[in-house]
Amino acid sequence: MKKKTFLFLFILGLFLCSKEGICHRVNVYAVLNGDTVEGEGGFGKGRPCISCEVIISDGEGNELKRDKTDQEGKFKVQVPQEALPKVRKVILEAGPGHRGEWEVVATTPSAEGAKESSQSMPPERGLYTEVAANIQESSLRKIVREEVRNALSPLAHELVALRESGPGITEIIGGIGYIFGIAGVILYLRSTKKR
Amino acid sequence: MHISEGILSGPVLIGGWALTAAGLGLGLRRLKEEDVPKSAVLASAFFVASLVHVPIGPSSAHMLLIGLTGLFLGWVSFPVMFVGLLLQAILFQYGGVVVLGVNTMIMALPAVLVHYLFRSVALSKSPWLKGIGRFLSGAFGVGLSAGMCSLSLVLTREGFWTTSKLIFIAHIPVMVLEGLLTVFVVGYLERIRPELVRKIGVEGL
Repeated sequence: MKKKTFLFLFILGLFLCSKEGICHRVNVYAVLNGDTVEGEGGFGKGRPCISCEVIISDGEGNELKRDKTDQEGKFKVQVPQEALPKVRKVILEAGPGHRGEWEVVATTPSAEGAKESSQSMPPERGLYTEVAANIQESSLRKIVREEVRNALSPLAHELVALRESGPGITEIIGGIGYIFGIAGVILYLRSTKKR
Repeated sequence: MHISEGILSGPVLIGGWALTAAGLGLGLRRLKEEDVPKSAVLASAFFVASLVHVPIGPSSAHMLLIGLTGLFLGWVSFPVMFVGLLLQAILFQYGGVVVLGVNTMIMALPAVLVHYLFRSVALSKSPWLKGIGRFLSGAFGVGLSAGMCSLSLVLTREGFWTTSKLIFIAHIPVMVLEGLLTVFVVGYLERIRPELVRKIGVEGL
C-alpha cells in the first residue's frame, strides 16, 4: 500500500513540477510595420521563447535578416530597404529541433507609398480653418495607422493565444479513443482470419 | 524527443521511413492477439507521456517510456509508438507527419534494443539485479534515443553538432528519471499482475 502511494505521488510530482516546458511546437506571430518586422514567439500557454533565433525570409529559402528574441520572447527586426518588398515569412528557431513559421502580412504601406501620398495633397484654402490646413495627410495617416495597430493588437494576441493553446483534454481523450479503436479493429481482423 | 517538421534533410527522412517500415512489418507480424490490449494501454501511456514535462534548468524534456514499452513489447514497440506519434502529430501538432518515420525510429529502435539487452536481467531472481536491470532499461532507452536523435540531426547538417550535444546533455536527467520510473512501474505490475511481467522473457517476441 505504501509503495503504491509513493508511486502515485512520484508521478503526480512530475506533473506538478513542470513550470517551464517545451511543447515541441513553437509558435511565432509577426507583423510588418513600415520597415520593421515585429512579433513574438512562444511555446503556448504563456511560455515565451527567450533568445531564440528569428529569421526573416523571402519564402523561397533565402534569408533576408537574422535576429534574436528578447527576455519576453518579443522581437523587432529592422529590414534593409532593398529587402522590404521580398519579406514573406518569419521563422523562429527555438533550440534543439524546434522551429515555427508565420507568413508576414504588412499592416502599413511600404515606406515609398507613404512618401508619395504626403506630397500629393496641398493644404485647403478658404472655408477650412487653419487647424484643418495644418493637418497634413501624412500625419493623419500616421495617427490612424497607430490607432488601428493599437486596436488590433489585443485581437492579435487573442488569435495567437487561441492558436497556441496546447493539447486539451479533448485531444487526449480523442487520441486514447483512437488507440483503443485501432486495437479493436486489429482484434476483429485477427478473429475473422481465424474463421 | 520529437523532431519538428522541416528540419531534416531528404535522405535522412527517407532512411528513417525505410527503417520504420521494416520495424512496423516485424512488429505487426509478431503481434499476438492476447497482446493487443496490453499494447493499447502502453500506446495510450506513450501518447500521454509527452505531456509530462521534466524541468531541466531553463528548458525541459518530457517522459518517453521507451524502456517500459521496449521491455514489454519488443518489436511491437514499432507499431505502438508509430500510432502514438501519428496521433500526437495529428491532434497536438507535435513532431510531424513527414518526419514521423525518423521520430518513430529514434524511439522504437532503442526500445527493441533495450528489450533484447535487458529482459533477462529485468526478470532475475535477485532483487538488486532486477532493480538495476530495470533501471538500465529506462536509462539506456532514453540515452540511445537521444543519441539517435542527435545522429539524425548531425547527418542533416554538420552545424547541428553543438545542438546534438546539448540534446544529449539535456536528456541525462530524463535518463535517471525514466530508469527510476521503469523500476517502480515494473515492480508495481509484478505485484498486482505477475503474469504480465513474467511474459517479458517470452521467446519469439
